[in-house]
Amino acid sequence: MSQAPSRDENPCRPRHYKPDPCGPAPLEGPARQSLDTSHTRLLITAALFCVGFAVIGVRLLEVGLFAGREAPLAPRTVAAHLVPERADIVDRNGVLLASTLETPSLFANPKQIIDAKDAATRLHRVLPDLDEAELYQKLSSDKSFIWLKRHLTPREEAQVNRLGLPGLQFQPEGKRVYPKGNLAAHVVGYTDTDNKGLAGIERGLERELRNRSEPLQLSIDTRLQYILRDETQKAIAQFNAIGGMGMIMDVNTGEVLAMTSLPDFDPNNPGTATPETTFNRATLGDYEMGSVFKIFTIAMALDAHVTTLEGGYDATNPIKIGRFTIHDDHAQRRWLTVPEIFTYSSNIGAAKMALDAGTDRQRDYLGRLGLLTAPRFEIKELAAPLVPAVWRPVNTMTIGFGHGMSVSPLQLATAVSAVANGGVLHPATLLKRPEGEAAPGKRVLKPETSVEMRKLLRLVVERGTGKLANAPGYLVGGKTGTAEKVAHRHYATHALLSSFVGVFPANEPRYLVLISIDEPHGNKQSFGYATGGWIAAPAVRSTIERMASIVGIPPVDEDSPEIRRALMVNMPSPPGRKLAAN
Amino acid sequence: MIRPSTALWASAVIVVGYAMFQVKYEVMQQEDQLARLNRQIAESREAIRVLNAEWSFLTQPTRLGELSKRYLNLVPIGNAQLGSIDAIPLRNGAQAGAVAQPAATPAPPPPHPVARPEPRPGARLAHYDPSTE
Repeated sequence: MSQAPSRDENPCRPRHYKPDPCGPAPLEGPARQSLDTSHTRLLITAALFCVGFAVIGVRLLEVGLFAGREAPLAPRTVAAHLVPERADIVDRNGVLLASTLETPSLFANPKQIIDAKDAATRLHRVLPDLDEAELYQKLSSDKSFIWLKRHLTPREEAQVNRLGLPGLQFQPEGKRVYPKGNLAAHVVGYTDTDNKGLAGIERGLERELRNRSEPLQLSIDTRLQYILRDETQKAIAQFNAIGGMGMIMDVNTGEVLAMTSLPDFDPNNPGTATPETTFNRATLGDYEMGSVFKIFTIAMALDAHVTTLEGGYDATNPIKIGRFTIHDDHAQRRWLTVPEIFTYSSNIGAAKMALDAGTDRQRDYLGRLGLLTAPRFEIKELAAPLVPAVWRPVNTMTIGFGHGMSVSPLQLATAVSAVANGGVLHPATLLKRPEGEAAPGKRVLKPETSVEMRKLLRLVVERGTGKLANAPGYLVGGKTGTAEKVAHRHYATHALLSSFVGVFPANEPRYLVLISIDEPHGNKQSFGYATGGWIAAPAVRSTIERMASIVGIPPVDEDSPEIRRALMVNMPSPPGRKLAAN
Repeated sequence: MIRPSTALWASAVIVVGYAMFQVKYEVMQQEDQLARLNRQIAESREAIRVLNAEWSFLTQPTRLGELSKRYLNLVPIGNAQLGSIDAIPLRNGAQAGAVAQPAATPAPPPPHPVARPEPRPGARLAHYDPSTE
């Protein structure tokens, strides 16, 4: 505003000039001051608004013209429900063993049901497995939520929808399915309706399965599992047995590649399973394994230098101790060398050897091999071994040939693996060990002991009681075992547990195969025998022949000089009469 | 008369307002698409899970064994059928250690002793009933 003086005051103003009567009266004093102030404020406010709009405008142009050029403000995650509520279970090659699928579950809001009687009748017609009276009771209750049926099939869902009844609704729920059915039922286990694990891996690794998003990989190989189950099944059927179990283990890592217990059940319908079928013989069963235990007696005697492969014991006469008499099933009635004791499965020889080694040493070695305490394992159906409370000399002798002490087949397989693999005990596991990583283990026997034991195991199959396990070209070594089952605190002569534990190839063992048949009955094919050598050994042989090409072990020439040298044992040629396999 | 600045601001307001709603609708559309895609992903994943389970169900070793017995004229490889490359003798005249020429490979194996059966009419692997799942 110019501060020009008013024209009236101008001394040089023209005479005719009169101030404009309507013109703004020039303000003076405080009024003018306040006008100036508000003017300034208005300007500042306008400037601020201009800046604000400019910012918004620029941003608008930026978003509109250069959209998508910059990263989103917050990374949007895919909705949480896409992650399955329970991880899948797969085998070591990624074959699916257990998965969770969404299925509709039917529930009712009885408050919205108009005619409960009619609704119950019509529902019963499409879902005949639901009881009509019970349905009516549920539909006429005064609750606002009640389950009618969980996990409907798509067809049932469509039929219920077609009824068009108000008050009925579906809720999608995860249902555990086991596409391989019975195949690995005892390993994988099963869950209840709310997907809580009730057996096997499902129970043992419940928390792990709930928390991980990646599938859980087991050490099981579905192909080997099938072969093992098939052969065990065949042996049970052939010899009219009540059951059986089998195990395939990688002796150098302790991974269980296959584990079966028969009879088994379908984990998709655990409701129809009986206690008989859900019982896992391989881990929860405690058995006196019989002559198979001689492996540990001889390994102990050799490892502790109690005797050598050239040593021997007198097996001429049965041993009488208290009310027991220890006698041989294939009595040679003479002095037997250590390889002969093992090959002909002499109880007398093994008993004397155990006594020679002493109770303390026996307990020490069995403890080292993990046979005196319950093992740590991924599944919870585990048996603790049954060992005598007071370990008398008679116990030492009977345990020397596998009686008077019970262990689970799982423990037996783990311990035999240690004897065969060079003397390192690897804890058994059902989870695949990372490749290229050394398996945990601790040394329990000298490497030389293991080399000698391999020769003896091979000898049993080549010349002794395990001849029927000889799969040509695969250098099977092993030991038979026939135990009389304890029934009513007495040994039942006709209720046997016939086993064979084999390792192959014997010069450098890689796999262990154990098959036990429960209460087999000899038939024409086995010449009436129901012993391990006649019942279980042929099953192990077929298993090894079928699995060898899958695990990539080529057959070798058993008579080649280097193999002969590796497995040579000094032993007199077998006597003329035929051996009955034990 | 409208002052030029007023006109300018008025048109700016119109443009900005239009642009704002344009952006808003676009965002809504994208949100819808995102939700739709998420739903599709969920459905696809569920479908994959179902198909995986079905595949695993259909490849049960027992079932494959039965199908192979019924439709294929094959038996498992026996021990006698396995050997190593080194065990194959070289032809006469070929230098030991020399790389075998294609012509020096042994004669093709004799034809399969058992004639393959003619495929039966209507023989298909369609014995799977989904309702048994």
